[in-house]
Amino acid sequence: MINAKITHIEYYLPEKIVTNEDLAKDNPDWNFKLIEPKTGILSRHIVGEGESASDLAIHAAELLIEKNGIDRSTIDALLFCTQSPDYILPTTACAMQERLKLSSGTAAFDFNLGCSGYIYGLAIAGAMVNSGISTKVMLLCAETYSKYIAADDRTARTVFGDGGSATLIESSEASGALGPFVLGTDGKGKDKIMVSAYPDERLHIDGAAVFMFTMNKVPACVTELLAKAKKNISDIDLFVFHQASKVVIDNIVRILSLDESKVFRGYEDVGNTVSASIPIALKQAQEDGRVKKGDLIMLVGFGVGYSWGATLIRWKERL
Amino acid sequence: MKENDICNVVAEALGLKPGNVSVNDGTETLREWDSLGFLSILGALENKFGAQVAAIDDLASVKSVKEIIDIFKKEGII
Repeated sequence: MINAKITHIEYYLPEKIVTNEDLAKDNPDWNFKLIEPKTGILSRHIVGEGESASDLAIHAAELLIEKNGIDRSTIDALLFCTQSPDYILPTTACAMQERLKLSSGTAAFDFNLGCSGYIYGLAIAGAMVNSGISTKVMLLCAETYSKYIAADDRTARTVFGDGGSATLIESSEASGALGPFVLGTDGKGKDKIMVSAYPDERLHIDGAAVFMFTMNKVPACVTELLAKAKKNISDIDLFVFHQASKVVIDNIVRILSLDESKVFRGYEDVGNTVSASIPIALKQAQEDGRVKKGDLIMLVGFGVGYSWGATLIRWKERL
Repeated sequence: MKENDICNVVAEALGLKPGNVSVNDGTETLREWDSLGFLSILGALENKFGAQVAAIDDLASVKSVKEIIDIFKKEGII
């Protein structure tokens, strides 16, 4: 087990809101009577001109630092999970170290993962803290998929939103606040969610193939984590899945026969924010009073790669 | 009989009355069978025929009930 814990989470959504009504005005042939019941998404936040994923992450990080009185000099690692980096090089996290006025003793690096990225980030941060390499790790997740989506892409425009999150991971006296982890990959799905320089640097999604992947892998991943943690499904107080869309979570809930009261859904006014979706949902769950001290929460991320991961956290009083 | 079951699963997934979908229907004939409606079909097939359905990669590209039936026969599901 890992002697590390999540101590704070904050998130930031860009100011511009795009509702389904806005999308319907631009695309009169899109039938939201059919779309809305499937996606469960009514609106999403989209970055403005010149606004980047790093801007969203910086906003979230500043919120976390200011609201919780964190001494910037005590943060010694900065991890940035994004598929929308500012540059090909340098590493966006290096530029963010300077923007956040963190010490030059900060280890800073990006990693490129999508919807599983938060789980991988927690695994990396937890391992860095547990090993003594770092004492206070700031994990930032932010995406601006809207920049990759074609204006006429009905599936992607109705589902994805932009957003950023910041999570602080620190050492813990006792184990059990974070972990164990299940992480997995199936590179056969590499072209099922893809942005490539050729032909057009646009987001291409094979929605049906990705949906089949989630039905096949996510329940198995949940079962594997329960076995690894020696827990029963009834021991879990809340499931926070990657907020892909309603139809995806509906089917995971159905396959696993989960009690709906133990499943958090926060996509309605946020959409699918890729790697930021789980921390945003966690914070929403806290704000909605859905978690209490001592609750055991399962986090499950899955998507582009294909890549997936799951972990458990034991909730403390306040995040 | 099994083929009829598949027609009914597709109909129910798309919010249509049983009997309103035939073997020859698909994306060309059913307005409800769009990219999102297809996800409901896939979920309903998994629910009716079991977890093995989610492991059949070819199913993600079918465009008609007949193609589903052909794949299910090949896989020994029906």
